[in-house]
Order: sequence, then structure tokens, then C-alpha cells
Amino acid sequence: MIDFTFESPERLWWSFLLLIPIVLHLWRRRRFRQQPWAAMHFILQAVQQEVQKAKLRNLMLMMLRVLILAMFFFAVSAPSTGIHNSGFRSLSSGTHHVLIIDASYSMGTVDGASGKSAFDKAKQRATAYVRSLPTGDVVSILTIGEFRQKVIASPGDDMQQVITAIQDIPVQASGGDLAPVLEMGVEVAESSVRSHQNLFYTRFVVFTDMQRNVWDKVLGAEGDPEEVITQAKKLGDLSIVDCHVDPLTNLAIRDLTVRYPQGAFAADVKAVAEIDCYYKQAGGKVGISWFVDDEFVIRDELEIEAGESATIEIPVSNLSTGSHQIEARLDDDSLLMDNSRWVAFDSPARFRVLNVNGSQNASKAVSLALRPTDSPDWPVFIHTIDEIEFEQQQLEDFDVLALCELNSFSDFNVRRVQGFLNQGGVVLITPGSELNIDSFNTLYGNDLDGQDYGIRWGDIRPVLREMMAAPKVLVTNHEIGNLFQRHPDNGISALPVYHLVELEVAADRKSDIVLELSDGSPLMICTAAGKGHLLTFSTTFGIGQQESRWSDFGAWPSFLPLLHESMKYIVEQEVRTSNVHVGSFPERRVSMQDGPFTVTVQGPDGQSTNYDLEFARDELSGEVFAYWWHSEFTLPGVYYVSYQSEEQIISSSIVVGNLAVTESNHELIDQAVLSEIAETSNDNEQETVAPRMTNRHEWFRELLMAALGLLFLETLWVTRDRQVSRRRKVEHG
Amino acid sequence: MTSLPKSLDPQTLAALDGLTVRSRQLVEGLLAGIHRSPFRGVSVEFAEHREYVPGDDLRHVDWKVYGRTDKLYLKQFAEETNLHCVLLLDTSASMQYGATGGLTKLEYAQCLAVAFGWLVLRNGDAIGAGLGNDTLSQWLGATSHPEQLDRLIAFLSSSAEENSSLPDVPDFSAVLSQAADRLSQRSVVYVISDFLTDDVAQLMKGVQRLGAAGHDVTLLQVLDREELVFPFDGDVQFNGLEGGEIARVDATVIADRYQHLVAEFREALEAQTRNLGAEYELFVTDVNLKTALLTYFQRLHAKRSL
Repeated sequence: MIDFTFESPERLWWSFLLLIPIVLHLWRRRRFRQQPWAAMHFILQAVQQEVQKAKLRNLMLMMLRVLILAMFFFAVSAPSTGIHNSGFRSLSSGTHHVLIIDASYSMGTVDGASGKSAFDKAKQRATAYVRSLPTGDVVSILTIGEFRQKVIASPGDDMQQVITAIQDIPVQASGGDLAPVLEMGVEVAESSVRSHQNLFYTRFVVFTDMQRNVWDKVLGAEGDPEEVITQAKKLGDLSIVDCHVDPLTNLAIRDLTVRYPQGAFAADVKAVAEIDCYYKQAGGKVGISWFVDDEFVIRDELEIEAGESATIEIPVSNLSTGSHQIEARLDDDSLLMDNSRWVAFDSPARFRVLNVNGSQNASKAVSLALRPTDSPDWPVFIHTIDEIEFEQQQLEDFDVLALCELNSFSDFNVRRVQGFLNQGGVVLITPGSELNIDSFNTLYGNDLDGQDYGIRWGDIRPVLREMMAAPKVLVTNHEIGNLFQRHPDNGISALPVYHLVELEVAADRKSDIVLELSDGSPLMICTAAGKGHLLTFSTTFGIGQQESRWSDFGAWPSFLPLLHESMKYIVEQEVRTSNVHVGSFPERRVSMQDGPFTVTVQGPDGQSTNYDLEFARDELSGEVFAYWWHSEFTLPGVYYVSYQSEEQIISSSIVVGNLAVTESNHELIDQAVLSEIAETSNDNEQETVAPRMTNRHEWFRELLMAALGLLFLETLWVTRDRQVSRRRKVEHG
Repeated sequence: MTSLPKSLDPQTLAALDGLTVRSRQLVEGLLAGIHRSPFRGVSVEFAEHREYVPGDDLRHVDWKVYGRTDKLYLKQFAEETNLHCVLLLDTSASMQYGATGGLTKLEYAQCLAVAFGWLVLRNGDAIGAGLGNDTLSQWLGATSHPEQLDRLIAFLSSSAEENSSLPDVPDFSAVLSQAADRLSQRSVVYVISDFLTDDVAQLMKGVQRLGAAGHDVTLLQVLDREELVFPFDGDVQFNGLEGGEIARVDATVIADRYQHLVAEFREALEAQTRNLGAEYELFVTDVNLKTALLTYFQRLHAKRSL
């Protein structure tokens, strides 16, 4: 069998030029020289006898010229043939080529000179590589990126199919990490070697723009290559094809947040974009456009130079009640993927609060503070229950869990509360008068692996007074206390505290003290726990004048702004699950109480996807929950989620996916570092080819010689005609 | 006032004069040889002896010389007679063709006719002429008067106006037939034309008619060099001088075929002419007239000497 391939098939398009001699032949405008003539009889007789011959001669001349061009174009397309006796791998080098193509978002960077992206370059070079493979070798294709990492997992020997698959790979909206992909490649290669006895060598080829982030994990923290490199090299060799390009301009919106300048429960917000400028060759301002709920609002301009960061913000007022999204979009530059960013938010921020009473009226202060009015427009809904009902509640129905003066937690509830925090909930805790320290420490992860919130509960103790003077309440520099810092006469310092629990706060800054007594005792601590937040108070909020009261917190004027500022802080921290990074595959745990329903998600590309609920047991609590997994969360933008039951939409929400900006600065890996682990091809090489098989024949030279030979023949033909004519003239002369 | 054709310049005439002086015997012999057959025995004067060759008429053997030398010699005679010579000139449109910068065939034919006329008159013989392309349109009666050369030149000059009413394809054989009717006494007839006809047989009928009337006929074919070698290449539109025919051709392609056809035609014309007992000679317009005539007469003399 003869295998026939072209090194540069794109040059076959030049064959359209073959039409030129044909068109010239058909459309030739002949200019006849006028000549009076006496011996017309002989002319007419000669024409009659020679006309067919003349047509044939012209046709042959035209065909000869077409053939010359065809030979030339054929030659420059670099055809090559390989001969083998039976179909599969008779001439194979026995190599399994595992092509790893970097599809992370930085590959979308466009080169300032050529206008081609790094990804175009990678695909072009990967295609050239595949075309250069000997017959019988097999190829797998993996991609670096969060999504669709196995393009061709089982080795393929249909090179046209492989090339088509390469061309169809899209750039992903995610950063990249070579380590897991290389591990996957090793698995694929090992599997191939086991299943195909003719394969005895593996060549890993990485087509990448040399982003440092991609290599960090593979190279290891100490500069020692990871085990996966050793494994790969045991199977064969590792090559790196440098596909990086030089951008002209690149800026990115690193972060987009929403602030509630008038508090979380007001309808006015402020959007804040943080912009990084990585490259900027030309001067001038950079434009940023703002869109609220997909409607253009305003275009700002800012001065920013390469290496600088800037913050720009816009106020957004008069928002209707409900969910909204804001998009900030930078002007086009060399990398578009990081130019847009979205943020989803509620205006005003809406909370559903589960208020759990450990003792009578223990949660009343919280209820009053979070819902000071009965107005139906107030965005906070509060459901108050007794401690005994807590286990029966579906926590997924709430955003805030206020555990007021509970004395202990069952293991079941510990896991539920921790799961609630992990899912992004807010938990507010005040101690009960008879608290079980061990139980509280269990809740705070002190005897559970991986759930350490950095707070250790101690004994209850009275607050010592010196000369009848109570210690003052101090506000730290934590953001929740900003309001009190700006208004020193707020009166919180005089808050009477009579009893508290000794809390030991770890110094790892996982938990931040917001309020403390002048004697150093922490009074309020804010902890980022999972995706949620934990607000821990060392005293209680009981309202009344009992002798056994812990403090006057609940009745103090500062209490309401303190909780409001806490909610505002939490909202602004974007811990809510509606703002996530693309590729993080957000898991949605939903209440089973709402009965069977389906979830429909409309993505940024306008495509709607239906998800069925899945049921799984929570690893921590052992509780069974209904889930849906947002498996198509691959594009940056706004996703509209609607929950439908019996064809009725029972609720809807907005989720935005943003690019995790990790590669925009194009910090390249040092090739000298890579040269120790792999062979690196120079970026200036035009083509990337696999090692050559000696039994493959390239026809370029032969075809070129044939074209030149035909050209000589054509010249000879035409010259002969001219010579004959010239000879006649000489005879005549 | 008569005008000479431009090629019949004084140098040419002087050359012709020199030719006559230097080879008078040759020319006279030539002219005598031309009409010897029709006018034999009218007035005979001994000229010279020549060696006998088998086939010669034994009546002309000089027996006296035989008796003295034992060798057979024939007596040669120079005949002096009032020779009638007629020039028939083709004035058809095809004769107007001439390569750029050269003479047209008609002009060359005129020169040729004047040269012949001058030679005949210098010999004291009578010269006449006729013009025509489809019919014998003009006629100049033969005379040996000294002013006949001027008349002949004026007569030939009028041939330039002969093309005004041309038929599509002129039948020159009719001119020959009509000339045969006009000629009352045996003559030497020189027919000067390019003979470019697709019907040689018809032309030969005219020649035959002249021959049958006892005239000594010679066809002098005048062609341009371009008509022989066809020095064209590329795309050329040939506009026919007769009949208005047009041919758009790639000259490179048909050149060989054309040459072949012309050569064939000439061979056929010459062969058929000789078959009828007439003579044929080709004149090419780019050949100097003196050279051409000298060549012609030398060849003719050689032929008579055989």
C-alpha cells in the first residue's frame, strides 16, 4: 500500500492559478496584424489543411503550460509517499505520540506582528507534526485547561481525523496546569502499550505558550520535577514546542465587586473594577464600558501604563428589587478573554434567616436588628424556631443561621452547620449560659480534621471591673468596624459586658477579631469558613434586666448597625455562590422539601441545558441531599437559572462565571529550566516535524525537476516556432 | 509625356545597353532562336559551324568541311527577319502586391516589359503589347518604329489604371484567347503575370490557344519574395487583393503548408506550360532586373546550345 501525504497541503490552494493559462487560452484577445495579400488561394487552402493541427497544437501548448504549473504547485505542497505491505503499522516506528495542546486562555493571545494567536500557532504546528508522522504511528490528543482534556484518548492512526480534531479544539476560559494532564497522558500511554503490542515508545509533545503557571506544579516547588515527569520519560521522551507570541497590549479586569455604600439593605450599590495593565505599547487612555442587566450604562476612560494597576468604580442607583448583574468590559486588546467580567448581586441584599432560640427570647435581638420593620419590602425574612426544632429544618432554605444561646450541638448538627458554611452560608453564634465547651470546640473543628476555624472555646467568666470601671469595648481595624471607626462617638465602647466565654483565637488570621474588650478578651470574631462566614460572639444578646445577663448588647444602639455592617461585609466579600469562577463546576445543593423539580440553565451562548436532580449523601453530615451539578459551566458570562416544578417556574436566580485571571501577565517559564527535563524546539522554526522515517520518500525535488523539464520543453517548442519564422525572414531578407 | 517605371532608371538602361553591346551576339541569337522555328528559310546568312551531334538535321551538314577534316560540322545561320514580339501584361489587382519598400509585381512587370521592348527594338524588330486582367482591354500594335519604345512605356504606364473595375476572380486565360484572335501573324508572345489562379487548367487553355495559332509563347511569372517564403509569424489578417477575401490565421502554423502549396503550384504551372511547348520563367521582384535578365538569357542560351 502506498501512503500519500502532503507536508503543506494548504499550498494546494495555489492550484487555482492553473485556471490562468486555461482562461488566457479561452479568453485570449488576439490582435491580428493587417496584411494585404495576393495569393489568398494558397492561404485559404493552407488554413483548411492546418486548422485542426493548429487547434491541436494550441491545446497541447496550453496543456503543457498547465502541466508545468501543476507540477510546480504539486512540488511546493511537498508530497511524500511511504510504502508498506499491510495496513496497520507495518512501517510504524512503534511510537505513540501523545500531543498535549495548551488550551488555557492565554493561548488566545494574538501576536502583535502576525495577527495570529498562540493557539493558532500551536494548532498549526501540531498539524504539521501529525502530517510528518510515519504511517502506523498512533496519536492521542489531550488539552491543558479545565475542560475536555481528552480530545482523542484512545490512540488513533487516522491522521486526517486527528488533524480535524486538532482544528476543532477551542481555547478554554480557564488557566492551565500541565501536571494533571501529563498524568492523564501517562495513563493513556501505559494503557496503549498494554493493548497494542506493536507500540513500544511514547513521545509526549507539549504545544504551549510557555506560561509559567502551566509548569509550576510539574516542576515542583523546590525545582525538582514531579514524579510524573519521571514516569513520562520511562515511557519515552518529552518535547516542548514553544508557541508563545508577543502581544501588543494586554489589560485585564482582575476583579469586579459590588459595594453597598448605604448598607446591604439599601438599593444603591457601587461596582468596583480592579484593572491590571500588563502590556501597553501605545499611549493613550483605556476605555471601560459598563453594562447593568445587559444594558449599556456608561463608558469610562482611565490612564494606566504597563505594570500598573488601577481601580475604577461606578455608582448604580434606582435598581429594582431583585437579582441584577453588572458587566465591565475593557476595550479590545491582544487577549480578549480577560477583558470582560461580571458580578451578580441582589439589590437590596436579601437574606433568609433561621433564628434558633437556645433560651427564651435569646434571638429576639437578632430578629429586631435584621428586620427592624414589618414592611413587606424589607429584604430580610426571619424564621424563628426553638432549639429542639433545629434538626428538622432544611438549612438549604436559609442564607443566615443565627444560633443564639445554644448550649451544645449534636454531631449531626455539627456536620450540618459545617456543611451549611461550606456551601456559603452565614452562621452567627452566641454561647448559652450552660454551654458544653467540648461540643462548641467540636463545632469549631478543633477535634475534626480540616475544619479548623482557628477559635478555641474556653470557660465562661465574668468580666472583671477595676474600681467599678468596666473595660471598654474596642473596635479593631476589621472592615466590619469601619463604620464605628469613622464615627468615634458611636457609643459602642461603653457597651456593658458582664460575662463572656474565653475565646482563644489562632494567629493565622483565618479568624479576625472585630470587637474586643480593653482587657484583651475577644468579643466578636469574623471567620471565613468554607464558602461562608462565621460570626462568633463571646457574649450573648439577651434583652432584659436580669441579674444573670451577659451583656446589654441586644439593647444597645450599636447592635443594629453592627449586624448590618456584618451583613454588608459578607455580601461584599462575594462569598455568595452566585459569583464563581468558570471551571469550578459549582455544586448546587437544593432543598428536597420543594418536591421534584428540574433545573434549566441558560448560558451566555444562549443555549439552555436541563439538569435533573441527583441525590447524594453529604460526607460530613451523612445527610442525603438533592444536588444538581452545573457541568456546562465553561464559558464566562451570565447564567440564568430557573427551577421548574410541573412546568411552573418556582424560582430563578443569576449565576455569573468569571475567568480566573491567572495567565494574563504572560510570565514565561525559563527555557533553561525546561531544557533539563525536555527537548524544547525553537520558536523560530517554521514547521514542527516528527522524527523522520527513512522509508518515506519526498517528491519535491523530482517534481520540481519535472516542472523545469517541461518548462524547457515549452521554451524549446516556442523557440522553435520563432526560429522557423526568423529563418523564413532571413531567407526573405 | 511618357514616364518610365521607376525601376527602369538610366543605370538599368545603361546596364541593358552594356548587356546588348557586350553580348549582342548572345541577345540576337536569343531572339533569333526564339522565332527560328516559325520564320525559318526567309533570309538565311551563315554564322558559324558547330560539331554534329546525333539527331541533327543532316541537311545542314557542311560536307565541304567534312571532306577537308573528316569531321561532321553543321552550318549555323543567323536569321535576319522582321520579328514580331508581343508583350501581354496582367493588370489584375493581385499584381499590385509588393513588399514594403520594394516594387509591386506590376511595376516589376512593367520594367521587364520595357526591357524586352528595348531589346527587341534595338534589334530592329517590331514590338507590341496588350493589357488586361479579365479581358484584353488595351492593345498596342507591333511596330519597329524607333518611337515605339516611348509608346510602349506610355502604354504600360496606363496599366496602373487597369484595376478600377476588377471582377472578383479575373480570368486571365480570356486575355490570352483574345490576344490570339488579335494576332494576325506569327509572333513571339511574352505573357507577364503572377498567374495566381486556382484554375491552372483554364489558364493553360489560353496558352494552348496561342500555341495553336503558331505563336511562340513564354510565361514570365512575376512573384514577390514574400509570396514564396511567407516570412510571417503570429496572428495575421490577410486581406485578399482580389475578391475581398479575409483570412485570420496564425501565420506560424500555416507557413510550411503555404510554402509547400506555392512550390507545388509553380511546379505544376511550369510542367504544364512546357507540355504545351511553351516556356516558363520565374522573376522575383527583389532580384535586380539586370541580374534577372542576364540569368534568364544565359539559361535560355544554354538551353538552345544543347
